[in-house]
Amino acid sequence: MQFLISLFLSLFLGTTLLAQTEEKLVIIGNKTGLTELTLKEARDIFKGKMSFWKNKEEVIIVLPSPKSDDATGVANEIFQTSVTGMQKHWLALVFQGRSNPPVFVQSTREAIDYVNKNSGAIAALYCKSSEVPASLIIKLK
Amino acid sequence: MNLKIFNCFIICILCSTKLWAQLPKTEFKGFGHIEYSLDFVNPNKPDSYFILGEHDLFVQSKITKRFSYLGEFVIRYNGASATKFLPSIERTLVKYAYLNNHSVIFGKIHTPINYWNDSYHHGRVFYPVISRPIAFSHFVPLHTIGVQAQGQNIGKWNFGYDVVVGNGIASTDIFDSNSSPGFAAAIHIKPIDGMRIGVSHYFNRMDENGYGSHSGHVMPTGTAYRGPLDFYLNSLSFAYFGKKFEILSESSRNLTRTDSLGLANNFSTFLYLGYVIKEKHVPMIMVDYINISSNDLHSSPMELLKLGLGYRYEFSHLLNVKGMLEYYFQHSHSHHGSGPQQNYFAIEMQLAYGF
Repeated sequence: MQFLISLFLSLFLGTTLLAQTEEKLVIIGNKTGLTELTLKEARDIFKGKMSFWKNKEEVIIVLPSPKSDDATGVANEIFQTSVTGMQKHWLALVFQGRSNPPVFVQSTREAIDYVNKNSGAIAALYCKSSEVPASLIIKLK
Repeated sequence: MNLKIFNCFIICILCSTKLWAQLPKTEFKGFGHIEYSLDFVNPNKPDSYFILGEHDLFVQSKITKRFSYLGEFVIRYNGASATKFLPSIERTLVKYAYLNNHSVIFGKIHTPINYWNDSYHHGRVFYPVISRPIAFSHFVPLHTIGVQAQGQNIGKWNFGYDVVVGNGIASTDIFDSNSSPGFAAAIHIKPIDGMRIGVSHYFNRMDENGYGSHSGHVMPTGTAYRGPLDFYLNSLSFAYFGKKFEILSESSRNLTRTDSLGLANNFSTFLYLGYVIKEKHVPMIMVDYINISSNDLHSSPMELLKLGLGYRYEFSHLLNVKGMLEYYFQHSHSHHGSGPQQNYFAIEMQLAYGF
């Protein structure tokens, strides 16, 4: 019996730890009014389809710059394209006058700092969830 | 005394830092292009030359949470200018986002009557082909100075609308002598990512027919009709820019009515098809057709079909090179019958860049 409980706990803890150490898409936000999102909703937001949150805060998009380690993962998961494709999408949108430009950051740390300091900011990261303060995380459903 | 100066200095620095932090966030970008052309307009003596294209300074600034500014300032060759170059303000607008995805815009805009005029403006690096559709040089009202109501990404279908009231086709950047304003209304949907389907209507009643600074229209030769003219333009756009395929179709029906020659019925259609290989290579074909009726008194009567076979290579999102082999079937109408016919080949190359 003890063996079975130990095995169960090991598996449970192991899976939890693995989830925290595995790099994946992580969404963080500050005063967005959101606690969880579907992937489709996240894609719509990061593609510039929203200007203001329900709490009337301005939507400030924070994305990894091409130099960031997060860039490829975010481009693949959110924009379903390459880093160049992600940049092209936003350049065209801003040039058309349809949206304010996003904030491009160089690292996960910079994204966390920016979101922490700016109400309405939302960032897409591709990192271990253990690297990010739990209070900022918006769960992906 | 020295301490006082030092304190003043510190206060000045603190104040300027505070002010600097309150300044709007402004981004500058530039776009330009250089072309090479080899045309066989005269089959016995083909012309081969390089072209310095227009250069475009683009400014975007977030003034406050709800106000933003956008400007596009272009310098292009102009033989009539003393320096051979002329600057122009192509877009300058202040946008007020009063509600999520709904805005009011004041200023000089590109009239949002089709996908091309609403999306590409003066950045050739965005163009899928080398040149704008032919209709842009004949009856598309490129700019409007006025007020625009805009909505976008509304509901499941990503519905959008644009309604514009402003100076008409014959106006300049500072004056419109006509009593009726130009009016444009456009709607679109974006049912899937990369796709946009739109229709629009434009109307302008000119007390005095003219060709102001917003049209870029070609005047009918040998006539200087300055009487009243009603100008209608209905447009249909279909655009799809996907991972594998790119399609852009722009069709317009233009009607002009005058008391002297009645209703003139003009038509244009543009079709671009591209096949994307590994995000960088895009072989493409293009068909561009325009027919301006012989009784039209606003645009120069003509019929032109342009066929193109080309290739685009994308070095990055800010740099591409395009090459096209084009064939022109041109037929100029005159007011009293058919004019001369001219068919010819041309080869064009374009290096388009952003910085």
